[in-house]
Amino acid sequence: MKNKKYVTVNKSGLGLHAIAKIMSEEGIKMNHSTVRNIINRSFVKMASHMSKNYDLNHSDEEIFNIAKSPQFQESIVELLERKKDER
Amino acid sequence: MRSINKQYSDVIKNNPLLTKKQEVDLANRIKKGDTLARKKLIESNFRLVISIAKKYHRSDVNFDDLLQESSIGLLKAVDRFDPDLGYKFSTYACWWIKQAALQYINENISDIKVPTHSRILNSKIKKVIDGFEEEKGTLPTHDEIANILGETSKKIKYTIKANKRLSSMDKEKSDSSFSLKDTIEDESLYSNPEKLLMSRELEKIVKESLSLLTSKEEKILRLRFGITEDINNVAKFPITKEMKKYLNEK
Repeated sequence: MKNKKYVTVNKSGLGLHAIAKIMSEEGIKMNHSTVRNIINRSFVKMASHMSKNYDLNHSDEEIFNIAKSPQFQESIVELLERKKDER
Repeated sequence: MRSINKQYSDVIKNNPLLTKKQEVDLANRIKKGDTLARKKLIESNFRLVISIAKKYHRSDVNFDDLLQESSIGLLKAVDRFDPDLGYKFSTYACWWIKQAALQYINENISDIKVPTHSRILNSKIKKVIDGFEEEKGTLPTHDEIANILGETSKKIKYTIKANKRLSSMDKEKSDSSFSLKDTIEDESLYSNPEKLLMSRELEKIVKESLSLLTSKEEKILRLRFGITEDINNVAKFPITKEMKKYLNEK
């Protein structure tokens, strides 16, 4: 499989600044760095849970590397899309 | 049963080519209702039917059937031939035979019938493409073909589309009892229960992982990756007015 450098975002995907603005307007004040950290933390959370379930015992560094890989992120995005369709 | 081709060959052997004078004589007798003369003119021109049928024969057309259909063209030519015009019978008959052969091919080559004029245009298009490629080394565009043939580009486009060859999934191959669908691998998960089980297990774990996200995290991920809910369904996925405007603009 070809190693991708970036995760593909569809046309309606927003930038970190735009997301920070929307969240701030809704009363959760944050800047673009916080948005980025939340995104990274979410992927780490999911990667860590999966690693535990499969008894893979990855180190924190390995989990972080998995979480930031475009392949992993794309798979999660696809599943989030499916979750949306199942509702 | 002897093949029709063989039967025709026997008839040809027993009926040599006619001279122009003989043809005129037979045609005049046919006009008066002489059935023997009609039979003689037909049998003497079978070699023309075979020659034309061989020219139009393709692998997906039954040759015996093509021969019989082409013979119908010969019968029409015999009944309509006018010796007073001064032409040889074969000159007149070949057009009727070709017409019958082409009509049979047109009606039987595909499950979907395409009008004969469309088939004829398609063969002209093919000739233009071959000639163009030979001359310039590249394939012509639809506009270029349209210019050469004096047709519209739209007509060229749908003629090519309508004349594409189709094959049936259920049609058995001539050399075996297998059909096309028997050779296609079933890649669905149901053909591999173990894979299905693993896939379901993985899906379960991933869904659990997704449920670990807080609503804030999930919302940020959705905004980041453009996973939008129905913009009118604000109860399940509340969005701001600005976001709604932004999505509408996109």
